[in-house]
Amino acid sequence: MIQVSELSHTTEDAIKVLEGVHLHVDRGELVVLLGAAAAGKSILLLLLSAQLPPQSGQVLVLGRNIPRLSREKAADLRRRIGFLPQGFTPLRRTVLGQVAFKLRALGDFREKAEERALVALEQVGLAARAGAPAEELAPLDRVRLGLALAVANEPSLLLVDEPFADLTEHEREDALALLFQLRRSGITSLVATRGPVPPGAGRILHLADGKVTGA
Amino acid sequence: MSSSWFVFGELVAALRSRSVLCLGGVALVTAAFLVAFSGLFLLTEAEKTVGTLGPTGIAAHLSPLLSTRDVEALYLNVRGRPEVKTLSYLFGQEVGKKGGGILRIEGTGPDAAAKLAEALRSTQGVARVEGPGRQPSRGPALPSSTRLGLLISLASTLVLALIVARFAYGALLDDFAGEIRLLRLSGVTEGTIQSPLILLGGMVGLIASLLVLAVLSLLHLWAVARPWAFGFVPGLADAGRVTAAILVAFPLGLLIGGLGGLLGASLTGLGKFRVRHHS
Repeated sequence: MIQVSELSHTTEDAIKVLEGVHLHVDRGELVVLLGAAAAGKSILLLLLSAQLPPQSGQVLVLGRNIPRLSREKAADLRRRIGFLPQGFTPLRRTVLGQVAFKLRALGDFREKAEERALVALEQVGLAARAGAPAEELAPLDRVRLGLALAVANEPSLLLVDEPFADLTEHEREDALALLFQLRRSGITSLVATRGPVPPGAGRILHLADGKVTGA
Repeated sequence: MSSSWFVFGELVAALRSRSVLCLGGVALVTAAFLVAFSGLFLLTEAEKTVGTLGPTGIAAHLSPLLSTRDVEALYLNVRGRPEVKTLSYLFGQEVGKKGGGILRIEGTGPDAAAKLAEALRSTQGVARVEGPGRQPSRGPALPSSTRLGLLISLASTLVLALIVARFAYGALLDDFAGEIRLLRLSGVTEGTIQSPLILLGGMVGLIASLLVLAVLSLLHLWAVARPWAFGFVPGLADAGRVTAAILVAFPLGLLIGGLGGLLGASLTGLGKFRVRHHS
C-alpha cells in the first residue's frame, strides 16, 4: 500500500526534516506515526499524499510512483487518498453541505453527493448533526467531520495528521475507536501524532531525527 | 466540465460586498478602456466623399434624422443667402455615405464662403461642415495630441484594470480560501480550480462590453438628434462606425476580463491556498 525508501526532504529554510526515510505499510493496516512537534510528520504525510513533490527517494503509494507522476496523475492519486490535515478548520457550511461540497467538486450530482455525504456522516456517527453549522462543532465532532470528508469518496488509503490534539483522554479513545472502525471497513490508515497514543493503537512507528524507526 | 461549473457556481456564491464592489470597479475601468479604444474609430473625421473643395467650396453634411420637408426648407434657406453662388444636393447613397445627404455649395468668394461655412456650422440639422478650401483625404489621421491622449488613456486604464483586478480576485479568493484548500486536498485538478476564475473574468469583461454598448448607443442617438452638440466626435453620428466600435469592444472586453481572471487564477498558487504543514 505504502512503500517508501531513501526519502529525504529539506525545507525552504534549509532544514533537513527527513533523511533517508524507509517506511512500509500493508493493505488494511492501521499504523501510528509518533514524533515530536516539527519532527516532519506533516511533511511526510503531504509527500505520501502527492501534495508535495518529493525531492529525493522513492515513494510508492497505491502502486503509483509519486516522483514520476504528471500533475493530472497526481490529482488522480489524491482522489484515492483521504486526508485529514492538522488543525482542520471546517468551512462556513452545514456539516452535510461541507461533505457534499467535496463530492460535487469531484463530479457527483447534488442528490448523489448528498446521499454519499450522509453515508459518510453515518459512518463516523455524525449523521444526527448533518444540518448543523460545521464551525460550531465540538473538537471531537470536528475530527469526525474531517474523517467523514476524508472517507466520503471511498478512498483506499487514509492519512490523518494529529487528530488527537485538543481532545480529552476520553475523546482520544473515541477518535481511535473510530479509526479502528474505519479500518474494519477495509481502509488502510496512517495516523501521525505527537502523542499520547491511546491504548490499543495499532503498529507504532517513531519519527525522530529525520528517520522512521520500527518500520 | 461539470465540476468546473459547480466550482464556478460556488465561487459566485462566495462573492461578498467587498469583492462585488472591486469586480464592479474592474468592469468600469475596462469599460473606460473600451470607450478610449472606441475613440480611435469615432474621433477621426469622416471620409471625404465630395471631391476637392476649392477656396469657395463647402460641403454641409445633413443629419440623417431630417425629414424631406426639413431638407427642402434647409435647401431653400441656404439658396436664399447672398453668399451662395451655386448649390446642389447629393443624397447620401450617391456618395456611398450612410445617413443624411450633403449640400454642395460654391460661395461667391473666399470670404463669403468662410462666412457661410461658419453660419452653417451653427445651423440646426447640419451634422458637419467641410471647407472651404479643404482637400479631400481618405482615412484622415488624428491630431498627434489627441492620439497621444488616447494612447495614454488606453495604457493607464489597462494598467488600472489589472491593478483593480488583483485586489478584486484577492478579496474574492480570501473568502474562498478554505474551499480551495479542500479542493486541492481532494484531488480536484488545477484546471477545475482555476478555470472558473477565468470564466468569471470573461463575464466581467462581457459586462464592461455591454456597458460600452449602452453608452455608445445612447451617445449615437443623441449625436444623431443633436449633431451640433457632438461635432467634436464626428464618428458618433455615423451608425456604421459606432457599430464597428461596439463589435470590436466585445472581443476586446472578453480578452481584458479574461486576462484579469487569469491574474486571479495565478493567485491561487499562493501558499495560503495550499495545504499547510506544521511539522
